[in-house]
Amino acid sequence: MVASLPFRACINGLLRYPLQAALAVLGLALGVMVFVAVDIATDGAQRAFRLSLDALSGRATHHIVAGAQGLPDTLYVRLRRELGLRQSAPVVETAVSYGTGVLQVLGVDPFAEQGFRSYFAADALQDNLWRRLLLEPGTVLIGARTAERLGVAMGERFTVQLNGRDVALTRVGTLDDATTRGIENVLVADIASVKELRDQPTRLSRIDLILRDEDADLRAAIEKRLPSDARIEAASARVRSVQELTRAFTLNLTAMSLLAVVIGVFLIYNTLHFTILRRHVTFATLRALGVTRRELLVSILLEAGLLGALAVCLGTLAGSYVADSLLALVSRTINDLYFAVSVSEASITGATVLKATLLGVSGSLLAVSVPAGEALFAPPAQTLMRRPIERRVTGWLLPLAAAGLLLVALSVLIAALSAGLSSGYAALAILLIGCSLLVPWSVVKLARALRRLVRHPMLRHTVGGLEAGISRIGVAEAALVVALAATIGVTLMIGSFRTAVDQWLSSTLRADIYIRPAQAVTGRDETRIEPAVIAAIRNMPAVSDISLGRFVELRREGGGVSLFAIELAGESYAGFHLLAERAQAWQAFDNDMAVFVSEPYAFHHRVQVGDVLQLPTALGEQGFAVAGIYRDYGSDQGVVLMRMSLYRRWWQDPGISSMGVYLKQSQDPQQAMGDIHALTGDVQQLSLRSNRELRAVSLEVFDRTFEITRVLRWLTTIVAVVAILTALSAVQLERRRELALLRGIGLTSRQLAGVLFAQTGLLGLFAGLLAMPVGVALSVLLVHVINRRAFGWSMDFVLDAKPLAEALALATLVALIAGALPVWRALRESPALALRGE
Amino acid sequence: MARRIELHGIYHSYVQGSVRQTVFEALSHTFAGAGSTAILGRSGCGKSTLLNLISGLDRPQRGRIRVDDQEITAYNEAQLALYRRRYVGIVFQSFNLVPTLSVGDNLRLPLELNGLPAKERERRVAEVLERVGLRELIDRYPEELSGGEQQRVAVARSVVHKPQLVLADEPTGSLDAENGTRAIELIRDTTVEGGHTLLMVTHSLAVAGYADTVLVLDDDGVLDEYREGIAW
Ligand SMILES: Nc1ncnc2c1ncn2[C@@H]1O[C@H](COP(=O)(O)OP(=O)(O)OP(=O)(O)O)[C@@H](O)[C@H]1O
Ligand SMILES: [Mg+2]
Repeated sequence: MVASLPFRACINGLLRYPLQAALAVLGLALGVMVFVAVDIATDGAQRAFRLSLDALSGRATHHIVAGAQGLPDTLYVRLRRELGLRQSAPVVETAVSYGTGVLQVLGVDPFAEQGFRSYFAADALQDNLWRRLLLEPGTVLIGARTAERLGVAMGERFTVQLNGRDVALTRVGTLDDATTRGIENVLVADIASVKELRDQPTRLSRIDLILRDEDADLRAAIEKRLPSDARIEAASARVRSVQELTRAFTLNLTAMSLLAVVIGVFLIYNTLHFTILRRHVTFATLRALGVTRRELLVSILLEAGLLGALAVCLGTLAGSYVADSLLALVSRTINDLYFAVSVSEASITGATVLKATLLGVSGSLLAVSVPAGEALFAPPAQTLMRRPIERRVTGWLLPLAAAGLLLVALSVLIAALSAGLSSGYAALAILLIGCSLLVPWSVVKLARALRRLVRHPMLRHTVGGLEAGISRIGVAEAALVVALAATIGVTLMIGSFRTAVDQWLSSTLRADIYIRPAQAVTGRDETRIEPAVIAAIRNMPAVSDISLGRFVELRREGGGVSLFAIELAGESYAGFHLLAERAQAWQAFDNDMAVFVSEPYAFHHRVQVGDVLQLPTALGEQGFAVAGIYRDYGSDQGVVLMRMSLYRRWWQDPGISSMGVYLKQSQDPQQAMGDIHALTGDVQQLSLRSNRELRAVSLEVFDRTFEITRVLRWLTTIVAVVAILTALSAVQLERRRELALLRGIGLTSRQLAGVLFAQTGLLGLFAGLLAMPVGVALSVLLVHVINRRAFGWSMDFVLDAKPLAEALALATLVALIAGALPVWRALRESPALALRGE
Repeated sequence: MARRIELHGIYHSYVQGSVRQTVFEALSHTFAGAGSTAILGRSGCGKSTLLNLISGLDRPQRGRIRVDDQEITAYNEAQLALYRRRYVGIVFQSFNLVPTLSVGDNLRLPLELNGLPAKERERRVAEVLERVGLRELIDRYPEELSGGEQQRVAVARSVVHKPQLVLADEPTGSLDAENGTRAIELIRDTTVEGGHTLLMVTHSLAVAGYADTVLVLDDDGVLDEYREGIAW
C-alpha cells in the first residue's frame, strides 16, 4: 500500500511541470494513436475480407475447387446421384465493377441452399422471390446497407460492367441483414443467371460441402470422382491464405507504427527522467523521514503508469478516429496489390486496446525504471547535501557509446548471417538502438569540436551549454535522430525501389499498346478477350506483331499459384531479365516442359534453377522444370511463367486475358488505339493503354502503395518534434537559475534569445547530421535485407542526396520552432523569482 | 525511552577527484541514555557527517554504530528506513522540507508514516506549529517561506512524531534570538518530556547552554568534553 502523502509529494513534483507532463503524454499518445490506427486498419481490412468469405461460405466446411476452368456442373449432379450427397451446394462466383468499386456476384441454386446460407430461408421462397430470381434473367438480391450505399432502390435497374461489357441487373429483393453480417458489396442471384454472365454455361466455380470428421469414407468417395485438377479444400484454408498474402505488408506497417510508439516511450523517459532528477532532494528527504525505497519505487511506478495509461486512453481514442482514413489507404493498397476487398468501416477491438495498453503502460514503466533506479540508489546523505549528479551522467557517455557500437556490429552480424524476416527486423531494431546509444556521445564530441572553433565567449558559452545539458537533451536528441533516420531510410528505400521498378517497367514493357477487357477485375480467371477481337487486331495493317497473355490462379495444397502463360512477340523476349538461368534457358522455355519463375516466387517457395515444379493441370499433377528465374516487381507473391502452347496443352484453356500490340515503324499509338476501338467496340469493350500510359499508371500504383508509409513517416516525425520540444523546455527549466543569472549580469533579452535559439538550432543541426549516416545504413538494410526477406525482391541501392538535405533542413527548422517556447518562457520569467526558486 | 548511542572505531572519508579526505580516522564514543548533547566544532570538521552516520543516511566505511541493542550499521536499507521513521527526528542544516507538500503536509508526513489516526495527526500538527509560531502558514508551500520560517517548520517536523532520538543540525542557524530560543525549547521540551535523547550541532554557545552535555568535535575527528576557553 502506498501512503498517500509520499505519493502526493511525488506526483506534485511531476505536476509542477504541467507542460512537460502534458507534452510527454501527448508524445506517447501520438505514438499509441499511430499504432492503434494501423492495427485497426490492417485488422479491419483482413476481418472484413474474412467475414465476407465466411458469409459467402455460410456453414460450408469444405469446398471442391479447381483451377481456371472451374468444375463441370455434371460433377455436382453425379456426386448427388451416386453418393446421395445431400449436404452440397453448387456456386458460381464472379465479380463485376460498379462505378469505381467492385461487387461480388454469388450465383446459387435455391433448392440446394438450405443448410448453407441462411439468407435463403423459407420466407424468401414464400415471397415468390425465388420465382423471380429463377425466371427473370438479371435479377439480384442486395444487402440493405450495400443497396443504400450504391443508391439502388427496390425494383431498380442498374448497369454493371463485366469483362468489358455492360450488364443490366435488377434488384428484386433485399438480403436478410441480420444473418448476412459482413456481406458488403455482394449480389446474390440464381446460379443460371450468373453462369450466363460468365459465358460459361456448364462450369461451376466451386461446390460447397458440409463434411464432418467422421465422414472420411464419404470424403474419399468424393475425391475418387473428382477431375484431376480439382480438390477438396477446408473452408478455413481460404481465410488463412488471405492472411498469408498480406502478411509482409501488414508487418511493414506494424513495424513503422511500433517505431512511433518507441519514440513516444523515449519521450516519457525524457520527461520522467527530468522530473525525477529535479526531485532527487525530495526523494532523499522522504527517505530521511523513513519512507522506504520500495514505497518510493511504487510511487514512481504508479506515477509513470498513470501517465502511460492517460496517454493510452488519449491515443486509443485518437487512433480509432484516424483509423478510418488510414483504412481507406490500407484497403486501397490491398485492392491494388492483393485481392478485392471493400471495407467501409472498421471498429476497434478489445485485442487492439489490450495491445496498446500493454505497449503504452509497460513502455512507460520501462522508461521510468532507469531514472527511478538512479534516484533511489543514490546515497541520500550526498543528495541531501546537494551534490550534483550530472558528473556521473557524463561518465556514462563513453560506455554507452561503446555499447551502441557493439549493438551496431551485432546488427550487421545478424543481417549478414540470418535469413528470416523477423531476424531482419531484429537487425533493424538493434541498429536503431545502437545508433541512439551513440547519439549523446556524438553530440558532446560535435559540441566540443565546435567550441574549439569559436572564439567569442558568448558563443562558447552557448555551445558549452549543450555539452553540460547532455543528460537531459541526449535522449530527446536520440529520439529525433531515430525519427529522422527512419524518414531518410524509408525515403531512400522507396526511391531505390521506384528506380528499380521504373527501369524494370521500361525494359519489360516493349509493346506499343496493352489491351485488357475493360473493367476487368484483377485476378479473375474469367477475364477474357474475345477470339474475334484478337483476330481482328492481329490483321490490322498497322500491327507488326502481338503477344498474348493468360493469367490464372491455380489451387493446390498450401495456397494458390499465379500462372502467367505467354505467347511472346519476337521483341518481347528482350524484356525479361533473367537473374539465374540454365544453359539455353529460352530454348528450353520455348520447347520443353520448362517454366520460368519470378524472383519472389523462387524466394517464397525456395525454388532454384533445375528444380521441378509440380503443378495441378487439367490432366493431373504434372512436373515442370525451372529453367530460369526472372526479375518481376509486379507481384510480391511470385508468378510462374509458361509458354502459351504448353499451358493450353495441359490446361486445355484457350482463353486470353491480355495482349500486347507491336506497331509497325512510324505508326502513331494514339491513332492505332482509336482504330482498335472502332474495330472491336461492337464485340467487346477493351481497356487500351499506350506504353507510356501503362508505365505511368504502374508507377502511380506504386506510389499509392507507399502513400500510407509516407503518412506514417510524417506521424513519426511529429512525435519526434514533440520529443525535442519536451527536451528543450526541460533544459530551459533546468537552467532557470543560470539564465536568470545571465540576465542579472546584464545580458539583454535579445542576447539571451540569441543564446537559446543558437543552442536549439545547433541541436537540430546535430540531429540532422547524425541522422544521415544512420538513415543511409537503415535504407541499405531495408533494401537488401527487409525487402528481400519480405517480398523476395532484389534491387540496387540508390543514394539520393535530396532526402538527406531535407532531413537536415527539417531538423534545424523543427528545433528552432521547438526552441521558441522555452525562449519565450525564459524571457517572461522574472529573474528574481527564478533565482529564489528551489 | 532513552537511546544509547555507541560509536566503535568509525572510519569515514570522502573522495573528491583524486584526493581522499578523511573525516573520521577511528572515532569511538558513547552517548549514554536520556538527555541532550550539544556538539560544537569548526566548519567542515564533520559534524553533519556524524549526524548522517547516526541516522543511517550514510554508512561508515569501517566501524560499528549501535543504538541501544541494535547494530544499525548491519541494517539493510529498508530496516534503516523503518528505524528513522519510528525512532528518529532530523533537522537538516539545509532544512530539506518537501517542496511539493504544504507546511501542514510536511508535518503530517512523519505522522502518517507512523500510522497515527487523522484526528491525532491534526492535533499534533497544530500544537507544534503553535509552538514555533507559524500557525497561519499551515497551507503555504516551502518556497513561499523565508529561510527562518523554513527552519522553524523543519524543527517542528523533527519532533512532531515524538521520536526517541532527535538529531538537529544547526537548528537555529537562520533564526533571530527570540525564534531561536522558541525552536530550541520546543526540541528540548519534547525530548525531555518523553525522556528521549537529543543530539544537536550548533555554532552558538548560547544554544549549547540548553544542553546537559557539551562536546567538541575537533579537526582530527575526535570528540571531547567542552571546557571553558577551548578553541573550536
Ligand atoms: N559528498 C562529499 N564529497 C566530498 N567531500 C565531502 C562530502 N561531504 C562532506 N565533505 C567534506 O567532509 C568534511 C566534513 O563535512 P561536514 O558537512 O560533515 O562538515 P560540518 O562539520 O557539518 O561543517 P559545517 O559546520 O560547515 O556544516 C568537509 O570538509 C566537507 O568538505
Ligand atoms: Mg554541517
